[in-house]
Amino acid sequence: MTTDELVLALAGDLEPVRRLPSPGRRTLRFCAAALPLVALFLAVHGLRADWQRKLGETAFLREQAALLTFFTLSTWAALRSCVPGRDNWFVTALPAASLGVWLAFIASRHPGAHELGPSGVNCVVRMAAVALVPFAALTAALRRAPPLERGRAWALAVWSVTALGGFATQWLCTRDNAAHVLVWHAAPVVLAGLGALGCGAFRRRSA
Amino acid sequence: MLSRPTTERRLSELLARAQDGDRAAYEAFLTEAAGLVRSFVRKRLPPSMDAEDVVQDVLFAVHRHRHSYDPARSVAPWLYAIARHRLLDALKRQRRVWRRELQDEPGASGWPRLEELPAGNAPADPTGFGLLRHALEQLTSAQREVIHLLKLEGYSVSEVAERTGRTPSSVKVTAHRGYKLLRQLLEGSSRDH
Repeated sequence: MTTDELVLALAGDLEPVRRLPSPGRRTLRFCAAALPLVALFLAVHGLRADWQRKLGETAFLREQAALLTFFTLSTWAALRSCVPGRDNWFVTALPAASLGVWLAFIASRHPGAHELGPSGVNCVVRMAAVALVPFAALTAALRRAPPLERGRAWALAVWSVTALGGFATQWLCTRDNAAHVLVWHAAPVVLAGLGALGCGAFRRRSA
Repeated sequence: MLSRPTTERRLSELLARAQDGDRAAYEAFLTEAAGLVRSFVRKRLPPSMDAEDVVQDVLFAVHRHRHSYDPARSVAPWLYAIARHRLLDALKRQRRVWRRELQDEPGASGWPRLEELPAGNAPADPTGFGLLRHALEQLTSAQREVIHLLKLEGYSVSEVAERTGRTPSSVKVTAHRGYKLLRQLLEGSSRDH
């Protein structure tokens, strides 16, 4: 088939399409749907006993704000990566920087709070449970306009939903020491994103 | 590259109308985009690769992604981002083919080169290479050259086309006729023995 024939064939098949809303608007919609879902999850599972005290703790609130920023920026970056020409290094750098800020906030907790304590597998399970539905929704959103750089887009999507899971878990888990939060709350988020990136790179190589 | 603002505005308008289902606008957009993509691709593609394959691949991607274009924004970054990704994919695919072909090199697979084959139809030729050489000598020089480059030297069709100054289709046809004749000659020889 020559290129001219292809042009005629594509033009002949043309159907009107619904334009994709801007990544910012899609991010707002996703956050507006995901945050009430997290609130529902927290209501069902019951907030940590000391949640009222935590509301007055600047360090805790600062971490939560960083986590929510990370969640929002990752969602925005994942959705923006679906739009050709708007997917640049800056888009990935912003969520990565906000992840760095969150990790720095955790690591800078007061000394003496660095014992790992008992296993936090429950925290990881809770994070996965919170992330499941938003991940399905974000996957559907990403499939509406297949990203050109799939590995990076999926990594950002995984970061987004695991950050949301991490946010919810912080309101459920009473173990606040830095080591526990780093190993059982933050490491799964980082590793899940890197895993998605690796899977994307592998699929791209083997395609 | 797309530089003049009027061209860019026109393309943007055409694509916006295409999103609403205007076929004539879409055809005009694709025709103009194909030209831009062709010149973008040709500058970056090795001469052994077919630029038109990549251009068509880009047009398919444009068709699939057309709903992601925002008419309020410039069309050039959108179009060239798609073109760049499809071009990189094509280069990666080609690199894999080259790597595979290198692994199948005569030296690596243990197959001898044409000039290393035993001469004539020697009776004491347990390998059958003598028969093969005899059959190869019956081919036209063009068929022999193409088969030698494809099967013994391990070049791809496009590389053989480039080296012999033929089109890829002509290389394929010549090789096909050569294989057919070789098969007949070798089957005839095995019946004679």
